[in-house]
Amino acid sequence: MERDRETIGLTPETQAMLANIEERGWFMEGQDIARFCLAYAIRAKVPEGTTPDTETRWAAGNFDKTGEIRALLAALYPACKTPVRLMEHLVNEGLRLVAARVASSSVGPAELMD
Amino acid sequence: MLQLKRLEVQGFGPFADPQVINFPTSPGVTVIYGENMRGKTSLLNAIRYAFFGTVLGRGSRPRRLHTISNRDLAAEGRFGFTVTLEFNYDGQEYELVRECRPRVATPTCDQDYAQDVMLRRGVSALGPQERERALQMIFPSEVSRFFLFDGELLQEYEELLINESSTGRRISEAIERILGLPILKRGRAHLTQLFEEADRQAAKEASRHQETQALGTALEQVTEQKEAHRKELTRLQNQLEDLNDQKAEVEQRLQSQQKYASILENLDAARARLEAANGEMGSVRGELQRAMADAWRSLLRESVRAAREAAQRDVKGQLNALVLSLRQEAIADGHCKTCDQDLSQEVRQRLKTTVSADVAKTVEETFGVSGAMSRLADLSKFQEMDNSGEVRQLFRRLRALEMETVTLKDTIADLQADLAESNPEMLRSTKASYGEIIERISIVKRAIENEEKAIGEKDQSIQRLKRKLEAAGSPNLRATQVRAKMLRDAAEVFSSAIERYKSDLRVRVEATASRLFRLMTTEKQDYDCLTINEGYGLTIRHRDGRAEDARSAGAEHVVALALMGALQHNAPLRGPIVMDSPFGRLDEEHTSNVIRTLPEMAEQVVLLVYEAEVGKARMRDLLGSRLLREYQLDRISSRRTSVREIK
Repeated sequence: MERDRETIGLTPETQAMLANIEERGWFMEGQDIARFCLAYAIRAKVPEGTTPDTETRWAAGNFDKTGEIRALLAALYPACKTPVRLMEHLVNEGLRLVAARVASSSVGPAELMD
Repeated sequence: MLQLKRLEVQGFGPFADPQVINFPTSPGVTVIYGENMRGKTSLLNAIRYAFFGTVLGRGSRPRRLHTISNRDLAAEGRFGFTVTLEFNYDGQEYELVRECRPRVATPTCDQDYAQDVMLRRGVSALGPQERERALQMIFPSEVSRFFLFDGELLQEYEELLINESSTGRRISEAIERILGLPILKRGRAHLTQLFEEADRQAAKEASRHQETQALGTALEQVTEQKEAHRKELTRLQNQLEDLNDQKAEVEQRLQSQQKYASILENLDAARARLEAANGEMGSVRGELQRAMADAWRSLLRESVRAAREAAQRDVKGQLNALVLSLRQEAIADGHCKTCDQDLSQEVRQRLKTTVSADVAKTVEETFGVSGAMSRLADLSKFQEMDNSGEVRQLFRRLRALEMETVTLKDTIADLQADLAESNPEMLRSTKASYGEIIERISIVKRAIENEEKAIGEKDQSIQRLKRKLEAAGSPNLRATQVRAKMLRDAAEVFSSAIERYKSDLRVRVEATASRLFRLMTTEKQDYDCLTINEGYGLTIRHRDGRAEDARSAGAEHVVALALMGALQHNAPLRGPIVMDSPFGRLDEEHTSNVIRTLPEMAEQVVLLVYEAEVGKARMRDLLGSRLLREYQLDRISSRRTSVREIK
């Protein structure tokens, strides 16, 4: 059985995307961006998967202090056996989606939430 | 009377080589024609420089002497200039030479120059002290404005109609100076000093005798107190005068920097708004960041709601299936495990009809509620929220603030560029010191009122004590009292004389000014005369007796010229009038009237004009035989002018 991880990481590509979003000053810290992107990916119905070649950024326990995200993933992705890896995947995929949208100057945080 | 005879300039302004103007001494007008930049104002300034060692620029501000040297000569390394002025004063011939020479090879500022002055009376040169005394008597700088002036200076005379105007106050003082009032005022001040001294002696005398000792001591004390108040009053009056001078200086500075002051005001406002906008932006961004920390929940709200509904449906279906399976079991076993009771045949038959074989099969396959239940339990942990409206509002505000700051930064950059040639710090300090001066003036004025009141009270006490002493005094005391009274009466005579003289002068100045005004105005059928106020301001009086409040710029000029002529006629100190381009605000008819009236204004008039103001033919026609001599300022190059007499 595949073992889950304890940390969440980003690929060099998504790391740059995160930095780009961070510069806009809409979020207080990187974790807030990552959580937002994870939610964005879930809403976009990104399927279960994993992202290879990531570099650790956050501890999963800190990333999801209330356990809400883990519970949510268990409910929405019931077949998933490695929720942290899924979190990581959704964060990376979400970053790609969000970065693509905010490349247009007319898209702000409110537009991302529509 | 002062009469100019000859002016020679060398190295002064555009006059590189020595240039000479000979002024006719018979009564009439000398006209010097010259286009712009040819040196008309420089000639006026050359006369001013000869007498006072100063040169004035725009706004009557002193010009740096270093900038006066002829630029062509300066380019060759030859700096400095000389002005020689010959004149008559009260039947004696004078020659005044003032030279400004460089102390260093390449001077860069006024400190790099030295000034040499020589005044010759008849055949003998005067020593420095005698020279200064003589020059002060012949042509005091305080009254130069009535002899050497341009259109700009004429405008200042409007200030005489404004009571609180410091410029008006300065001009009024200068008018009294030219009319000879200071001699009488000094006499009054001296006599006042003497009678007060006599009063003190009388008090001392009284305090020596037993019968008048108490009264004498009291009088001495009150006199000392009054003296202390008077000293304080003098100090305050001097302070007020200083403050008024400072106020005038700051006002002039503010006026000359009006344009910059308004730019600076806008710049300060833009900077303040930028700072406020940046502050607000920081706070809005903070609120947005806090909102965005929870925004992921808003994003998932709909997805979670849909998943929750699906899970609830699953749980319900699975519960139904469980109930059916329990029924099926009971039918098969004849015993209900839920309520632990055996079922009768009748009940088993009834239950059989409610459970079809297909349903039983489905139940077999999907049995177990734990999956859907645990999904529902997981989803219920999610804290549902929707802050998208808040995020939208905050982000919109942030965008608006960002736009505003960009615009403000642009505005600030533009304003800073406009201010590049000014000194913003000086402007700010000028405005600040103006406010401070106004406040100090009002404090000092209040203090003066208090001191005057206190002096009045002390005076009453002194008079009371003196009356008592007169009744009880010794012969010696009476003698000192008589002396004090005589001196007081003499001072009062001077006071009355000053008022009488001022009043007579005003009547005479008003009459002469009215006569000159009627000669110069184009509204002869409507305007009757000029009336003079306490500060020598002149008001135009209509034939219907009313004052003409709305005076045009041209009318102001004519009134100012009438005042100049009237002062010349009524002052003990008389001299030439040298006017530089005074017709700028006058129409053709006014200009003609003024030119015709010039010989009436002073015995010797020197007029500096450019031909577009008045052409030669017109000038000759208007002045006729009273046009004594004409000069032309000819251009040699942009930096050189020569003076040619027109034959």
